[in-house]
Amino acid sequence: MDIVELIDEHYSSIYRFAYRLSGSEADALDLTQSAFLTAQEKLHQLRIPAHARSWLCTIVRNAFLKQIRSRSSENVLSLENTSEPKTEDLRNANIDEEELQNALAGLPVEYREPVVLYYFNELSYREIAAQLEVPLGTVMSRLSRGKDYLRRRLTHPAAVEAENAATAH
Amino acid sequence: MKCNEALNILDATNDLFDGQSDERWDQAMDHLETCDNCAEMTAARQVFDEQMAQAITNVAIPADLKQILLDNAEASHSPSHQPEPIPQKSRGRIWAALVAVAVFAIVALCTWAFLPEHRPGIAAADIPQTAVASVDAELPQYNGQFQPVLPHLGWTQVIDETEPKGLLADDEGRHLAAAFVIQFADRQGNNVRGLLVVTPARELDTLPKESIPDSSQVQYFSSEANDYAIVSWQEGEFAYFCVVEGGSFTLERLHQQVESWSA
Repeated sequence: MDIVELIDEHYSSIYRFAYRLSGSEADALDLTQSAFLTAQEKLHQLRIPAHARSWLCTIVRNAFLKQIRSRSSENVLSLENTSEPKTEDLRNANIDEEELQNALAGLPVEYREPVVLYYFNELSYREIAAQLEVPLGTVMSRLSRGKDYLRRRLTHPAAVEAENAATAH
Repeated sequence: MKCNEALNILDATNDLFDGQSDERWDQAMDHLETCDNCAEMTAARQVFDEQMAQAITNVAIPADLKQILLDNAEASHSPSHQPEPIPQKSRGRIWAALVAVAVFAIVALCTWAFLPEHRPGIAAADIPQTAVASVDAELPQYNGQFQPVLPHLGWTQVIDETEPKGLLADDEGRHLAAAFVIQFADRQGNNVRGLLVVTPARELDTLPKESIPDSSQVQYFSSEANDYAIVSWQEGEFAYFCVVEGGSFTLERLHQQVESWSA
């Protein structure tokens, strides 16, 4: 597999992954470009072409973590479960793309990463634990709280924003 | 089993248990059969999860993204860009600078000719394979001529610096590289082994580009027994090659530990 094939097959999904992780078009563009340049340099390390997507996602994730370490500002939100959404709200949720991105951006990185790997890459809990190198129990707990936050945020955005505003003061 | 506990287990889906029967999973399923609220909530959550999985991939792609990436790839592949035309009035200065550079180069060459010749003794490309093959090997005590220096950060916490092993002997049997045995616990508490190989930078035919152990620049190797991750970097007069069992996450974990120990 050469770099042109790699770009051709994966550029859109890698950009989407970078966007959901970083939350900004500019950062996603930077991360995608830097990921493919790294991939071009290290292409000889990709021994199994079927693993190309997860290999590229790992490069994006590492670059993203390096980026946020250097920025060192992080959202601190209360993820305490205060109000479980009703079943009809969950069933009838019409998830708006922008609202989803705001909700993801509101999640601290340690919760956002497993959530994106779970929904976007459709990895199992075990695979997420292996990729993040954290115990399975930690993945369960982070995903449980992250998913719970998204359910509340995407079914009752105003209520959650009010909670967060109250936490911030 | 309580409702919250059952919902949490069911929320994690049965991939936790690799499709096999598990006592907690079975209990949660039993609970579901007797609790209408939880059954309804689990079904509603699954509907929501499906919507989420669909919505999260719904991202507009910039129209020119593919072309930008292809252009980047081509630019980074091509040896150089076409130079800009030089303005006529600058040419005199450039000639003067070229003459100065040429004089300097001749003086440097003459000086170099009288210095003892030194040729790098190690092909950098060979080190990863050698290091991987040496993790499980009984290595001799280091007997080389240079004093191996550890990199920055808290490496003494994962190696015994008083007992370097020897790698890659020259014609006289003296080691060109020293190797320190690494042992540390990963996040699951498993014992991870590895080697930190140190060699004078001048002995290498190609120097590592990085100046820190950067886990995004990892190379992977497999032996019959294990997978290994390797990262190389240069600090001062020395080049370092760190090889550990497992993948880049093990390496990242090791790096985080040596960083925290040095703090």
